Amino acid sequence: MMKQYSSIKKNYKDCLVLFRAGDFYELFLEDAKIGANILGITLTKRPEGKDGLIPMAGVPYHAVDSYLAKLVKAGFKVAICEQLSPPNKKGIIKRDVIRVITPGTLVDEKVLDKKENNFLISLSVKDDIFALGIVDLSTGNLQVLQSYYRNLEQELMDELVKLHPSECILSPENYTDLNLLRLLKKERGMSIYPFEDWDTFTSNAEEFLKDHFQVRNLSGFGIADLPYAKESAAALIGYLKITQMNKIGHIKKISLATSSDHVILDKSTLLNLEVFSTILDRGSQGTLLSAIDQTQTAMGGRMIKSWLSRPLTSVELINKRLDAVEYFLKEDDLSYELDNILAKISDIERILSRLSIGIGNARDLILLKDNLVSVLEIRDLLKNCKNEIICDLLKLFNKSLRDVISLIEEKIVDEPPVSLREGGFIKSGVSPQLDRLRRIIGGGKNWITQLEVDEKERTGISTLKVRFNKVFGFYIEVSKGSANLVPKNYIRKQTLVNGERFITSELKKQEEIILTSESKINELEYKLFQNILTKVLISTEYIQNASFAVGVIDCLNNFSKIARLNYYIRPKIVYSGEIRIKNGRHPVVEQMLEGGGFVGNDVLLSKTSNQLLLITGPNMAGKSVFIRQVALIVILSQVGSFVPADKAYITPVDKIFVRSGAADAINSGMSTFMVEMSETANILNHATSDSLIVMDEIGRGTSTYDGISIAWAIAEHLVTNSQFSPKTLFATHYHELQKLEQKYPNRIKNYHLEVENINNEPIFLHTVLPGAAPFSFGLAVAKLAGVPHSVIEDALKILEELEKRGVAQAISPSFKELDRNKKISGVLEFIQSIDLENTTPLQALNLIYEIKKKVRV
Amino acid sequence: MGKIRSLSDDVIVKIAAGEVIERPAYVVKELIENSIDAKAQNINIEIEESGLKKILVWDDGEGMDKEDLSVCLLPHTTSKLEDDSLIKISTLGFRGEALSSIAATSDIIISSRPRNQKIAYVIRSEYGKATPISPKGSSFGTTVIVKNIFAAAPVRKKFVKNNKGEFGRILDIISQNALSNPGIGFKLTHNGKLIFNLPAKQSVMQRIRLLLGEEYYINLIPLKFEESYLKISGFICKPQYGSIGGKKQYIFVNQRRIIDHLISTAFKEAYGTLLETHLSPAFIVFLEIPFEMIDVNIHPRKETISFFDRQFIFDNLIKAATQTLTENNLTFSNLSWQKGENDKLTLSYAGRLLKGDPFIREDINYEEINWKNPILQIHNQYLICQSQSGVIVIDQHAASERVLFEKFKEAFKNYRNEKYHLPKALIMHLSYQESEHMMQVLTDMSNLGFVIEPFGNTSFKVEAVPKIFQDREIKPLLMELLEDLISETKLSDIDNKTQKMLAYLACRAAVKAGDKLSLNDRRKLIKELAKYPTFYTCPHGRPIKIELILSNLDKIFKRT
Repeated sequence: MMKQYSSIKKNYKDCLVLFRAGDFYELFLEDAKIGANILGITLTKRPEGKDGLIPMAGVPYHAVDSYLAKLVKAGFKVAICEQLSPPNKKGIIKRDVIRVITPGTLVDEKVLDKKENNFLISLSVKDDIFALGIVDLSTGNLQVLQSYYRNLEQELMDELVKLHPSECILSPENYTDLNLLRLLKKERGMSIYPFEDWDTFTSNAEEFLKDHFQVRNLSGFGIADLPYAKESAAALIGYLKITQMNKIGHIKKISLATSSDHVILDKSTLLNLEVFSTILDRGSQGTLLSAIDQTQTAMGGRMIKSWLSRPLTSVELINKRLDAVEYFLKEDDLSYELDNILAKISDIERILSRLSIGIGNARDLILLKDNLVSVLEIRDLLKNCKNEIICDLLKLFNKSLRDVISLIEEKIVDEPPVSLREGGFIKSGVSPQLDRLRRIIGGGKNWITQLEVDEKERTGISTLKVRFNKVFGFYIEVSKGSANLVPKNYIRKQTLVNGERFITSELKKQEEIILTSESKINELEYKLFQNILTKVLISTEYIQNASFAVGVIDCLNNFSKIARLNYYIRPKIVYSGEIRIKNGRHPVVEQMLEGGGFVGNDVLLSKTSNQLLLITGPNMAGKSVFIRQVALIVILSQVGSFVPADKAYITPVDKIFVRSGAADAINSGMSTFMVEMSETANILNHATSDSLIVMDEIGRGTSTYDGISIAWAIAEHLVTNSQFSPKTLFATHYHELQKLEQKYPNRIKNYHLEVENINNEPIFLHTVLPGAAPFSFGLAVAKLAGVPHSVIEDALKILEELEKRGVAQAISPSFKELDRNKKISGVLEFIQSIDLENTTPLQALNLIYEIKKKVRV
Repeated sequence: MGKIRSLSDDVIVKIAAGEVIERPAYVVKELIENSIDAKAQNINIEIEESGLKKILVWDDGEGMDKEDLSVCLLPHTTSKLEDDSLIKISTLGFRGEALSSIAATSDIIISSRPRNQKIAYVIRSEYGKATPISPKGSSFGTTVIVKNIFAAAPVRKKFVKNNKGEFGRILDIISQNALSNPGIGFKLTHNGKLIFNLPAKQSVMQRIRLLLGEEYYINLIPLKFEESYLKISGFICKPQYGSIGGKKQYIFVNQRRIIDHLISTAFKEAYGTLLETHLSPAFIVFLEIPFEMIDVNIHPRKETISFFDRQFIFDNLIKAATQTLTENNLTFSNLSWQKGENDKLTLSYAGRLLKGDPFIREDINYEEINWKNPILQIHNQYLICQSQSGVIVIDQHAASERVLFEKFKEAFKNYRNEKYHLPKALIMHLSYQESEHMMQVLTDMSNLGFVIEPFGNTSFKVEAVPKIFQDREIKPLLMELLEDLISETKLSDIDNKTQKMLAYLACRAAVKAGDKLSLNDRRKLIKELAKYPTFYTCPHGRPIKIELILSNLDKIFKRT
């Protein structure tokens, strides 16, 4: 057996080989040591003739899936080597590898996150171009991307952050590029492997792809003129063909992932807006996604992620989605019923993929059927809908779906067993041969019961019974007392406390007939299953289309649910260049408030007079929340969702950049300021007049003078340069910058956060008001935050000194000064009200006393 | 300006004493009622640990200005009585006790911002010790946070130690308010988990569907009725959706939920024999009665009220319910009444006849039956025989089921499960699913007296069955039993697994509708039935027999 193992292992040197032996999958030699370590199983030894003791470690076959997942998650490739000949056969059992499982080719539903894709990518990098092939084997979705780059790290990472692939394959050549590897390692959780056979498949990528997809040319996929995209696709298909033994029939087309038809949200933007993960703990609680995702199906859950990372730019398409959402919002009973049906649907894409790859069973077919029944229920529910997008989607529910349902219903029993090798899942009446075999068994067992009657009579033993168990099969049992009365042809098999068990040659012959029939039945049912499966798979594309449609319907219905529960409104998509929002709210923060009652705010951005909004105020007042909610409302609008506001007029943007000090990667090796500057540079290099920029406290990471200067210069550049004038929300704590409004009154507008002064305490109202902030609240906030009184007193003194020396010119009066000013004006009023004509000297003295009192307090 | 004012002493005395906050649920009730009175559009409730740790109620209602906020925690203050007359009570909360009672036993923080104020103000009271009022930035509305209630009184806390029950009460209270105020949005979370989120501006039906369930919703029949000053609206449920105890009944008087046996009884009477005697109907009704005709001031927590004219309410409720049932063809009999000269055939008359002097009664005195008289079988479904006082009609299947079930139970109890050994063992070839179920119930089967064992693959060998099944077809009996077990056919009042199986067996083994019965069989069946006089229904809950009283038959045929 070890010889067999060695010859197999030779072909799979880069994998751990799980070698099926009886009821176990075994690892040998080095693999065993690795496996034992990762899986926590016992490392034992196996004597093998002159090979000596061989390390080995094994897992039971019925539990292999979870162990498999652990190995793969640890970054290993695993080759499954199965026993191919039936168990009873004599001689060396035939074995071969039936599948190679890698991190990117995991399809086991128990292991994968239901609402996440599991992406495998192939990457090829040339001097100024890179190309990606992207596939999710569990859904059959294949995309390619080819792009020129200026900054490989930036642009490549932007793509990867949207995918979070679990595996990346490279050409052997690219794999020697250490810089590339170092860069790719930044995408944590992605295993990187060289694909030895890369060149085999890519040298004539065009022909290979045409052959695989059975098409005349590749222009239908949009990639005819993209040589590197074709290479990446070919490499990917080749890799999958090898690891899945060609069973990739469910990958039916290639789509091109272009950037032009959606809003560009780079890595920084997604993180700073906490769209998919939060800054604090990279978790999913408190993200935009968690606030608006109540999709019911796995397809919907994956799709909404994809929609969020690629908001639309086409007004027409946006409005189509909005129309559908409006429709569902109005028809709330319909929406509720739709939701209930969607809740019944499980992951059609993944079930189909499992069946395509060859690891599905009869239960999967029944599951598929049930899902298709629900899909048709959706079609019936929505058939009268007049909305355009929904009508288009309903067209994807082809009538062949009904045929698939009938096929499965007619042939497979309602609740089949898990295994495909032990029969019991094909209905009767499907195959005459099967029925006949079943009858034979029936007859055989009947014969046996008759035997019981006959033998009872013949021997006169009243306690005689014919029984069955898994160990002995059929046997005759009599009580202890009657054991000596049994006829001579009885062969004793087992002695028990209160009985004896025998067999006869006749009985055994009959049993043999039954067993042979059972074995034939198992084989036959398996074959019948494969036939049914093949027929079902003919409709793969129809099922995938229906599944896609269900995902979209789920997303649109989901938006209507969110809109209904949170009182969102429909945004108006306009062309005026304005972004005008009335009483807008932050979709995530408003849901997380204790109690309720988010204070909404208006905003107006335009191409000219309100191009850059300068917002000043302490952070506790809600500056960051305000500027972010504007960006989030724009994203939601362009995704086709309703938005949290009283009114919203949105001109579509082409890119959104969000720069904030808060998310600076501590461990990126660069200083905060450095990170900030390089991100700002990126923004300035890529922004257009249609872009939206959100800057939160630029210039924080350096000295005050430098910071103010840089922030000033950047703001000025954004409004004066001739190449682009993007709409910008610029939040700052440098009050000096407020002077910019005077300098550029037709471009820049000041806003500040409303603060009420009660008993010398600042009360933040969370409202954003036009105009400059009346005073700086730095010290007041410190006091509020609990900084010790003595420190505040000292700070006040130092501030006075600095002001006196004119070093830090306070543009606006400090808090204390304002207070004093108020007092002084009060005294002045008092003095003015004195009627000198009618004041006696004594009264005058008293008045002076009053004045002194007022001034002192 | 001050909306809250102190009550004069005599009013205080007039209001029933003893507003005691006994449990977190009542705190929730008071706070929500305050929010509703404040004309909130949305009310959010956050509960932690069934209210013992935290109760937060936020609303976007009118709020309280600084003045009102500073006195609201004092006892005997309220905004809800226009003058000191208690006669016109139009708001839910009015006693002036609630907030101060809550403040005495907990750490309470109230922040509020009315529409005409730029900022909110906050007051806090820790077990009666107040902190000075302070300003805060906030949106419009009121937030009340009650923390660690009863912390200062460990005795009470122990009393409420059953957390689960308490949250159930809180859920009940919020649901009731959500049902009677479908225009207001309600959002409830418990320990961070969202329980429900009902948007504003919904209909009562939508609320019923979301809060009481799809089944309740499907069985609704709309009810609308007006008579003089009484307005009734809402829904009653189809009779097959009854329940034991008044669990599914919701009575609202002027938007306040009350418990009232008078009303419950009225509806039960209206349903009459449509429901089993031990079941109560399900309904949700809203009564609108002018304040002058009711008195809400009797119960400290306003859970019961008294009516000025009880009889009027009672009669009209029956009328309303009966009318609705009739309109929907849910009368017990669709007997065609002949309109006579001297009696006006109004619906109430029909109703009275249906439930009043027993025209139809269910408890039958079998001794009155003269066995020499013939027993008819009509439509192979019903047995008819003469009794002393009238005519008895019996559903043969239901009767047989009941008889067999009782017999099986007795036999099983006495372990006298005498077996009948099949001359030749029977092989049953089951599907995978069926064999799984069979394996699960093998022990129960053997307890009942079946001898069954696995016989290879998915086959089973049946050697013996309980003696009572001696003359029956075993295979179909067992297959049907398995079917019942798999589909878990509903039975009324039977929880015990074995009893369930016995009930299924009884049903399958019983005389069916459509079986022809010989005279002897009929007699035998009724005699057997007589052994179990207390049972009116078969194990499924369907009636077995009724008796038509002679005197009432006479009435119909004008023989009096």
